[in-house]
Amino acid sequence: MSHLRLTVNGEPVELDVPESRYLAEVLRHDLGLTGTKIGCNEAECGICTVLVNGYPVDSCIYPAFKAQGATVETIEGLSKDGELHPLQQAFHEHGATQCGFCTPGLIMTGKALLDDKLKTGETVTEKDIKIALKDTYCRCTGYQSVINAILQASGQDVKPYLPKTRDPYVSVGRAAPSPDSIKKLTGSAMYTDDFVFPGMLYARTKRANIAHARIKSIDTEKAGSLPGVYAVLTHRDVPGRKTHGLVTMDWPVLCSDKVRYAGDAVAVVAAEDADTAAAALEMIDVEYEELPVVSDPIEAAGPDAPIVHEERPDGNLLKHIKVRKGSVEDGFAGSDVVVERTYRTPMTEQMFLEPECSIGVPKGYNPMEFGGKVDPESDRGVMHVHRKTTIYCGTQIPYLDRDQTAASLGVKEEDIRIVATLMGGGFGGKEDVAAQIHVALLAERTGRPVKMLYTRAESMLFHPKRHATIIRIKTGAKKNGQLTAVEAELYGDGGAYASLSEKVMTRATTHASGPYDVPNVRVDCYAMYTNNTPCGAFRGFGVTQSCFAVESNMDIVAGELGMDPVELRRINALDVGGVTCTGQVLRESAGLKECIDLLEKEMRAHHEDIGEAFRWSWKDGGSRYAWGVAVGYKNTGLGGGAPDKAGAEVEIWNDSHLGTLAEVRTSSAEMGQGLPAVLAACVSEELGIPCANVRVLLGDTDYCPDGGPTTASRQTYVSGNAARIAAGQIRVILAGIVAEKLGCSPGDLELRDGNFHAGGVSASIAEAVEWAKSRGRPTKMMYEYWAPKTQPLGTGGDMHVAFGFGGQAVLVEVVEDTGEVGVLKVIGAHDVGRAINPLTLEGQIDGGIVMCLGNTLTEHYVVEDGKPWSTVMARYKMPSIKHTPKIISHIVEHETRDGPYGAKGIGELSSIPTSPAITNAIRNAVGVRWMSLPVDQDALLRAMKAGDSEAGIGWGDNAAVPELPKRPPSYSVPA
Amino acid sequence: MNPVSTLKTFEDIDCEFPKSLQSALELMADEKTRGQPLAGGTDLMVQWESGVIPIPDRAISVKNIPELREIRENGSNVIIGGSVTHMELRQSPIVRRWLPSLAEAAATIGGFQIQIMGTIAGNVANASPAADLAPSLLITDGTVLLASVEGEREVKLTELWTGYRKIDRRPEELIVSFNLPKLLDDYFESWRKLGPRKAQAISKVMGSSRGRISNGVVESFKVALGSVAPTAIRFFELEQWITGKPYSKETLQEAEQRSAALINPISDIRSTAEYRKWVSGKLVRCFLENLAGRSNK
Repeated sequence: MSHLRLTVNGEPVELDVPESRYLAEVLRHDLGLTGTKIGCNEAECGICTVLVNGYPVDSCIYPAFKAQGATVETIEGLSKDGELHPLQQAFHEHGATQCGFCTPGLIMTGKALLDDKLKTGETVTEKDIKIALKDTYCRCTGYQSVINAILQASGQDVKPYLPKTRDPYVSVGRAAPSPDSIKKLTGSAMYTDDFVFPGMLYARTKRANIAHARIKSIDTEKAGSLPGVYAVLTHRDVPGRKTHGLVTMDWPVLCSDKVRYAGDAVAVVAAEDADTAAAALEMIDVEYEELPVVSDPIEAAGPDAPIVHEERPDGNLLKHIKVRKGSVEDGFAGSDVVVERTYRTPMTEQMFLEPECSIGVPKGYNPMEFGGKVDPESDRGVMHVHRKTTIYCGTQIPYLDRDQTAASLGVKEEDIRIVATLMGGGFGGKEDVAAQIHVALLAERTGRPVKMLYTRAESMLFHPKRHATIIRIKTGAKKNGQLTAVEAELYGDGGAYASLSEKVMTRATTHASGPYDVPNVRVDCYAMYTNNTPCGAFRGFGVTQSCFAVESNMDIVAGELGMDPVELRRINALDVGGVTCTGQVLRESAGLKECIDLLEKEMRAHHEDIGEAFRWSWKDGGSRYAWGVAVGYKNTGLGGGAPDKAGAEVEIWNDSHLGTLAEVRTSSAEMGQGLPAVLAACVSEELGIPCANVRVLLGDTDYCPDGGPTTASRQTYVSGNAARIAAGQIRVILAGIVAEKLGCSPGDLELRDGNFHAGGVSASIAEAVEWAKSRGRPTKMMYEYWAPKTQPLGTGGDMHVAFGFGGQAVLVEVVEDTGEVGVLKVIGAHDVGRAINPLTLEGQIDGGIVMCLGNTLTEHYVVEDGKPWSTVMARYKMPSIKHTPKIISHIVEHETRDGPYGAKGIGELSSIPTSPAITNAIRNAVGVRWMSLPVDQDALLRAMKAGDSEAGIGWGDNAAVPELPKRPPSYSVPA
Repeated sequence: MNPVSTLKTFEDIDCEFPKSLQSALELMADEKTRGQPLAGGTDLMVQWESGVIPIPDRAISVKNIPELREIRENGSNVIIGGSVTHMELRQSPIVRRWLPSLAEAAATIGGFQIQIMGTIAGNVANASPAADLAPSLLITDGTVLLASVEGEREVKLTELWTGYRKIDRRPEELIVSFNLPKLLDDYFESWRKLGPRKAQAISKVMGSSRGRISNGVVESFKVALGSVAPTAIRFFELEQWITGKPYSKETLQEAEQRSAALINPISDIRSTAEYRKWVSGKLVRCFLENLAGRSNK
């Protein structure tokens, strides 16, 4: 024990702490300052940064006793007397906070820089910021807004970067920071690990750490008798359904007969502290009989491959997905140019900065029984008697968590309550159940709250990744550039469990002819089971992969035709009246051509602004520079015939201090994408009250209607519509009563500036609410919005309600001597239907571009024979602030009829064309077409030296991209 | 009881915090009290916590020993204490003026959080072939001062690294300071690091050079590279060969070829030997071109 004397945020603090406690936990656990977040525990991500004697330190690896006598500053100490620090204010205005989990680290590191510059009187430059913050990661913002915010906070006149959009209505179309941003900026935002319940236990999971084996025995006796251990559970302790899954129930809650990947859960332990739980894991004896491993989707399709799920009729085939349109034979026969290539993309990791955390609270839990008190003022009111088994977690699909947990506990869905806390990023990686079922089981077994926080290593080992794919694609075109046919074959590595493979690979398949009107298309996709980490949802949802192949081929076709690659895309771009490869006729809202025009104009302006003619590539010093262009599209909503609905409830009331308030409630998830801002704008627009007066409650299954999964870029569309319509219904009720009072027709009333006007008379919205209450009229409405019906793949018709279209032009630099690739500038043009909030919209665009820049240049989740090599954050390079390019953003607004105010989804679109745009640019710069991701700098240099026109590498090492098997897989393919 | 996760390192480890160099050396003298010297901990803490290297029984914190914290000029040399941080290196007017390549290298190590913790002695003692400061130290022809209770010992930096992750330090010794000859007038230094781009690679090649070109002749050229061999290395053979040669296209070309041939890096699946050889030649060439460019001014 050390007796520690500190000054924390100006307050003297004395406490005894063990030497083994690091500063981050002293702050978070002992002092309750949970604004400081922990992302990796390996001094890699920097989000735990606090200032010790004015210097920024990674508090997750800084022993607390080393801070003896020091002055410590944390995020909570920055705002004084309710006045935000200039950095907080600037982050707020610039929308530099998305999920908010890394925000405290960015701000504290930024403060160290500003304080330092203040001493010397030097001006803060972008370069200074890129040096100071290069070890502080952010996965949401793409850093451009962060850089601008810090520059503004240093006293420079830097305005938030906003793309040009149409004039706003009242609130819709107006740039505004997200309503929850202030909490995130001051450290008071609560994520799951920030909650501590009296009597709480700490849980850990016993992982297989072996890729494929039969379980012969599991012995938990020793572990169970370790003092401090409250429960050790195995598959025998799962009372209800033994498996979970979002589409196919094939994922064991706890493994019984077999383990199928290294991250499989075999047992869970709850103990009085995390160390005891970890010690107990070591005492669980599991006897395995190792089985041969299959770790490649093509091998998995072979006749002799080890079978991952013996019970399945189709061997390792998870799903065969087909797209058929016209006759590709005829199409290729009429082609002047046919290009056929094979591309390869690796598994990648979402790397949300908040590792998964769940807390299970048992039915009947009373904090007073454990020395606590019932406190209705606690955040989200957690300190109360729990009537139901309750799970607090960051999740993208609260209602499906509820259903899956109930099934495994053998209880009714209504007996489970999910409280979705704030989420430190998701990007698709928090759709599958993590520890939700485990903590519920442990809580019910022990009668106490149980917290399960994954370590970064465990998070990386466990959760589903982006699918690795091998894509062979053949594109035919006529001399005039018109595409005649596209034929493609895709293999997707689904990993050990189904997760969302079927849906993801369907999206890869249906987008495999690109956003073009191609008369003849045939695509076959084989999603395969392997013993790798399961693959599931990741921003882009399969389209990121197929777009890489499609758009690479498009540039090759342009080259063979001697045609400008922009022109080739313009000729073939889907437009109103065009037909997608699944047979959907686009009747509206297809702004791709406008996007392409804007890209071209902006690329030209780059040169013309400095008085030179446009050129695709040039050489300067030891570097080569070039532009590359790619376009893409992405469905909004689930589509494919799935019921696509979201419910929202809106209530309006008068507060004696704050005026007329409204609250919108839905179980959709906010993971940093800005949904609260969108919902608030919709309600504000309909009810004529300021956005600031609209509260947003998300993800509590007892209070919020089902918003459906937060996936497929759908929430603005479905939950936005539900909120808009529910609020609109209240407006109709209010208008009715105002009309009665004023003696006019409701149709004559106009809602403007918070007042109903008719002729010369008016009534305020507050009066209307009072009248409605006094007459017993409803002031709360629930609306369940159903998106227009869609058709399943293969039946023709509308497979999706809308598509977002976009394109990007990228300027790269390749250093001739070293093969280093730098992305200098990205021009984006995206058709989003209608920009509801240009500030948060731009956040999605910047973040998507930089995430996909990582997908192209640095990111690769390496698995070797089923054994992940990328086990720690240091072994997974995501883009840091120094990679941030200059981003110029254009918004195209071709409204879609059924979207709220015409809006479509944007969450994924921005991370789709970036990869091929970069590799096309590399090709234009140095003459090497890159056939695989990520772009390997060694191999690129080798190819440049050898004068190869095409190159790529396999997974894991420098092997060549393998050829696809000549024949289809040996098993019978369902018709 | 620890309801939260903990630093494994400091559960069993005994860490001493001596207040002076003398008391630190006394602790180091006796096997019973000797411990792993610990400075900023930016390498060791992470290696211990992740289980890459075993956690020792004892550690001696040297970060705040006053004698190890100074940067001062001593005639034609600069003395830098072992516990000087990367941040202090890159901000020090003395280092920036007289050892510019060292200041530049220090500025590329991590972000602020790492720079204010990590120290020069730690970077050197960690003995990674990719240690950022090593090439900039090597080109100075300087020495390192090691001390024990028995006395002091001066070791040439070019002889300090004896193999992969090994340095010539006896168990009872501590690194006290570095004695580095200043950059002379009309001499110039260069520093360059190739950033790791690949996800799976920690492969970076970095290097420093110091030299002078006068009247079109290479009068002096010292060059060291990291990450191309088990230790950071000086290119003595090349330096000897090039001294006195005219600065010409031919010299550049041969220097590039000779440099590439000089190294024998390990080829692993993360990066190829071929790449490192090629890039090494290019780096040396780039240093020479840079030197010529500045000398002509």
